[in-house]
Amino acid sequence: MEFVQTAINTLADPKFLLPIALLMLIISLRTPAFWSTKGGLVALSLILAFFAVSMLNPNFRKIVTKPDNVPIVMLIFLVGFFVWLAMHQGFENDRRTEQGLPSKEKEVTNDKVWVWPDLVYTEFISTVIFGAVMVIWSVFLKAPLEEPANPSLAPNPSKAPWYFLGLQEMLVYYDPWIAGVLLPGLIIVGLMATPFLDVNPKGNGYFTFKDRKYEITVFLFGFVILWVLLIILGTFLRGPNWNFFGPYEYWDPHYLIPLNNVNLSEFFYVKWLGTGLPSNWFLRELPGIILVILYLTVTPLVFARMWFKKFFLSMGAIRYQIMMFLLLCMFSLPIKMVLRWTFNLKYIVAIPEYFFNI
Amino acid sequence: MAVDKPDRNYDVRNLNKVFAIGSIVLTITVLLMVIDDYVRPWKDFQRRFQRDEARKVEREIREAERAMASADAKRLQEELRKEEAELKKGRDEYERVRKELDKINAEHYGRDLEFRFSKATYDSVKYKTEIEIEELRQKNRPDEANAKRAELDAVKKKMDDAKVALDAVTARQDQAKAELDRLAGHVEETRSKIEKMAAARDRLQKRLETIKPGFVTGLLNAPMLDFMAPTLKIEQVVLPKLRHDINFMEIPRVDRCMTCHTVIDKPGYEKGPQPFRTHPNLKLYVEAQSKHPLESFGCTACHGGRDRGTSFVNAAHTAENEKQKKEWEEKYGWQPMHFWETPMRSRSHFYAGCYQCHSRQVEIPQAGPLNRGLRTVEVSGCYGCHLIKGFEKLRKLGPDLGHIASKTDPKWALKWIRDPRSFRSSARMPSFFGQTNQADGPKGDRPAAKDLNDAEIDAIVTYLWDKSVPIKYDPVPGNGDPAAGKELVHTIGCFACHTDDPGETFVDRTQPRAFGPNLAGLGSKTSQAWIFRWLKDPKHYWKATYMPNLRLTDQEALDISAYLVSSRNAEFDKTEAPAAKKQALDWLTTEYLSARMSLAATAEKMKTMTERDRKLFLGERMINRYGCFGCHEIKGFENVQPIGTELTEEGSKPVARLDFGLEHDVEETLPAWVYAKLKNPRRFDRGKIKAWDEKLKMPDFHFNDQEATDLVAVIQGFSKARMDAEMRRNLSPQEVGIEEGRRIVRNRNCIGCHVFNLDRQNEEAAIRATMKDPGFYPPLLHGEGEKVIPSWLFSFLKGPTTIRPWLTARMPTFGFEDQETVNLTRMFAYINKAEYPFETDYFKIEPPAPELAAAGAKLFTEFKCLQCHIAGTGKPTREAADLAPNLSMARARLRPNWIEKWLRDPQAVAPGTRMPGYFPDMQSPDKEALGGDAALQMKALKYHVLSLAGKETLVVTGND
Repeated sequence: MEFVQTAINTLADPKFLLPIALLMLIISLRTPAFWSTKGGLVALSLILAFFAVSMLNPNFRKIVTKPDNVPIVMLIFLVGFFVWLAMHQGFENDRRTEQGLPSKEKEVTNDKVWVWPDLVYTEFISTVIFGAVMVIWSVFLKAPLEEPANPSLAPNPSKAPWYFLGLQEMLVYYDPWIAGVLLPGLIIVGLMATPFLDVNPKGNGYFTFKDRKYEITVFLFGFVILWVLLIILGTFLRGPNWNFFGPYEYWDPHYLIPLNNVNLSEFFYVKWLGTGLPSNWFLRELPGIILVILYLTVTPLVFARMWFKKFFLSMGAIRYQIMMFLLLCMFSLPIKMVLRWTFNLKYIVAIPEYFFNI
Repeated sequence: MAVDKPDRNYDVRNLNKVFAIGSIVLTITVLLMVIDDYVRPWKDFQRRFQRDEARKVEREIREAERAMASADAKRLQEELRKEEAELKKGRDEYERVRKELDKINAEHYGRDLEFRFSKATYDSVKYKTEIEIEELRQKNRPDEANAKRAELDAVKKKMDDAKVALDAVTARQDQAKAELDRLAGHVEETRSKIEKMAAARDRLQKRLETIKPGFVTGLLNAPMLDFMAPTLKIEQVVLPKLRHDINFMEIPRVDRCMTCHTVIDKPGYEKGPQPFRTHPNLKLYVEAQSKHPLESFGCTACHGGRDRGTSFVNAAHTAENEKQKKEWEEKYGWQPMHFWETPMRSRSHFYAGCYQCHSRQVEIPQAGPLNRGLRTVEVSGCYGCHLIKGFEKLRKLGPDLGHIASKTDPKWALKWIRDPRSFRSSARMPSFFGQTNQADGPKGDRPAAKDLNDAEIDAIVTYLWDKSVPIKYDPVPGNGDPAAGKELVHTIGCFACHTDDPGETFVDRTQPRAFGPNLAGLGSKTSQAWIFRWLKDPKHYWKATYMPNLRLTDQEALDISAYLVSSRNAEFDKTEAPAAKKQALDWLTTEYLSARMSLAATAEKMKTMTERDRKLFLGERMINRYGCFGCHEIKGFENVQPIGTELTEEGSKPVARLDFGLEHDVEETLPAWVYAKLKNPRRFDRGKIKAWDEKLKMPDFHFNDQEATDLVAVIQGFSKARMDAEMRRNLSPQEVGIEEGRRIVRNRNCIGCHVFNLDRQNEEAAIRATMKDPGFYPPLLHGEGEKVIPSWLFSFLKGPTTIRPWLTARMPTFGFEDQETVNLTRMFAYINKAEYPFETDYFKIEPPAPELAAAGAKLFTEFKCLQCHIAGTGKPTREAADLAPNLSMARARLRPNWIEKWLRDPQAVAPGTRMPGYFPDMQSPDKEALGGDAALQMKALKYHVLSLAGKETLVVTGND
């Protein structure tokens, strides 16, 4: 038991949790059985069993049952269920298409449904049930109010509202203006641009995976892993001083983790060239700047030549370039995370003179 | 074109079922919501109280009814019956008058109406006419104006007529009423008397209606209806002058405690079960006439806790002990309110609340434990290391170490510093060394803790001796007699502040006799020469000492010093003095040097330092580290800041700011932390891996449980309470004067000999415990202000003269500064509300009439005053303990009016005095003199006593 707990505590560290999640996503997308009813039930019972057993641990129980955190527990199940539901229907339709049958949606609705009762009545029922759930929730879980805010005594950990915990996690790896302004801005811009970038006409009005493999994979990576998983991580695994704590570990406010992070320029000049840092900031940061420019310019070209030939041709140069820029920005987060975990890399470009760090 | 009928995604019948279930669930949850909102713990308390109270009221109603059935009531009923019977006899006549009165009433109504209408008309016409006349005057048409005026007069006439008519009817009405009253006799009067008797019952009945559970109250308190006029409701007082600091603003306290503590302000429930119990001190708190009425002070300003809380848990109650906590957990589901930073003060700490407003008083009335705690702070010297606002002006507690080498030898100092209690069990000096965080063996290259301690102590002593400026002491002029010395120590008053009993440990270090050190074992510490000189002039060695000068002769000082030096502490003499081992000394020196310079430079520096250099360097660092200069004057540390945390607002420190280390046994509250810290100041170092100079350094004061509890209360009182200035205890100029004097009284331990407060005779005048005969007790001072003349008191305090030659204890010469003397003199006058600075009565003394003078002299002899009193050359005949002050000093010393007051009833002025009362109940034993008039006789005696002055006049004597 001890061993299992330690193992889970260790694996929950983001440096393992993220790769594992990514791996599981890829494996599951390649395993239709996972999305079958049986597969879904097995996954559900596994998660339920995990929670049930883990609840025996006081530290786990304390964090999970905190009124602030209850919505996040619900989030785990709800996101899981709806992803499963969509994928389940997608795989089902893919199977039907293989057999030459029309998609399930087409078979049932002939493209049209009644506003009454199919839309309005169900919406009304949902409202009623939702109202009941909210009342029950508010009766049994009191509002988690705390002492009056004290500017000289900030709560520890200081956490953002749950829906921003993904952003807060980004702050560990990026400067506030990137993690708090640029990347969130790009998420919105990217979502707005999606209809214009997505030239794949398939998948309208019915669920499918086969026809939209690339789109769905990218979406699930961005949403489930980079957003939802980071929220879960921020809620359950980030404790005092934003330190990482395994799910069964006690949140000790005095726990210390050494933080010795180094900039790329220090790697380049001190470690590899064995000289001191140049006093001129531009010269000092030149390697990093070149690297960033290369990342944003050369990578799309290489991909256009190698793996994304098809996209490049179907989308055209401009659309392709925008899509690649957004994609690269999205991937810059996991890349930076990996660099931090493996090399203790602080910033690729660090120009504190102008408050500019990447 | 035919439209394809789309298929339905859902079966409507199924949807109906889901909808039905959803609706039922929603209805149930709405009910749940209402119930959840309605069920509140405080309602249960109120319901319980009302049930018990209803029973009580019912009992009282029965009692009231019994009273109504008493003989008195029966007599009234009987009377009423008789009168009514009589009334019946004249029924016809009565009826006739009554009917007439009815008619007159109707007429009166009509006339009254008429009059009021005509008056209204007149008022309105008058206003109109005024304006019209003014207009006509401007247009210069006087005739028309006069016509208008006449019109108005006509209207006025109508009104006046109506008034006359009305008055006539009113007169007839009064007449008829009187007639009717006469006929009805006393019936009405008796009836109202009977009604009055029933009033008490009716009031109770009314009260019962509001609290007795029943249909009406049930309806008033029903869910959804209880917004109108519920009988169960939250009671509160809003206190805009006492506020909470919520960091960005201040909000008024809203105390809702009386929602459950329903009878906190009502006497009669002193023994009721909590929360239905009366406040235990209504005279001082809660009641409207008290000094702290509920309406303006509420509860939480003093008690702490969450003012707006209406359940047991969220009011942030604090249990007194573990047992109560367990009990509360079971009974009320108690748990700490994590997010409320000022939980209620537990029973043993609630006096802390007083200090928030009363901090300007030396002694806070009726706050015994708090005063004890504050005094403990003073006598322990907490303020030496911790800045505490209000304590800044106190003198450094410990002796001046500037001449230490002339007083004792280093060996004594080494052993003393290592463990002060090994020399004197009541030592005030705390233990710095050999503490729980200095108890380990060698670690790596670090020597054992004990060796390090020894090296530190050695270094400190070396430093002190190096800085000591020698004072030359001449050899003592002869030999003293220890036996005579002992006798003196026991009688001249040393025991007001000292003891010589080596076994005395002083459980209560604030008591007067613990003020000065225990005199046992002095031979192990210092020399006869030093003691001799010290006794002769304490300020010679230590300028700021509180030790007074007892004006000893050389022989007396010799005897006492011989006695004191003869006492040795054999146990202490036997122990080995700590000495620095080279390895430990070098390790420590390196450690402290390298904190300031590189390791290489340290090694270089070490080479140039001799052992003495190292000790001096380390000694300076150690005194700095342990803050010795907080209590002692030490050369080189005159302007160093105190080393401790400021405690001025310590009581408001959030728990998160306290380092509990690995001590999980200590409850996570401020009081628990402070208590643990006081009991073992190094406790929170347990299990911590720290460098030697990072370790906690607060010394152990050996506080007992009571002292620690008192101090915890005091520290909770050091809080940042937010309130309007007017809510604090503000002192009038007189009160400020009293406080300034009290501060000196406290600093100089005057209560070691004197009683200032008759209610506290047991605590004050501790020296009495060492005296057998009350005749030798030092004088009571509670009425000194109205007794003596301020100018005399001033000169007496500056240079005491003998008033009571038979007393063995001496009033010492304290060497007060002028201002201090003024403050003390003023304090006495202000306490007794006596005249200050001039005794005006003194100037009103006229030469007495000859018969008064003659009677005075006669009575003086008759009452045999000189049996006990001294006057001029006469010698009293009684034995020493019965003697009384020299009356020839009276003129210079006593306020004339006080003499009369004293003669009238000596026991009232000074309980226990041996002065007989000659005028019990203002009756004189001498019926002849002055016609036996006691008042006149007293006056005559007063004049006689004042005339005894002889050559002794007001002489100001002083040291300088």
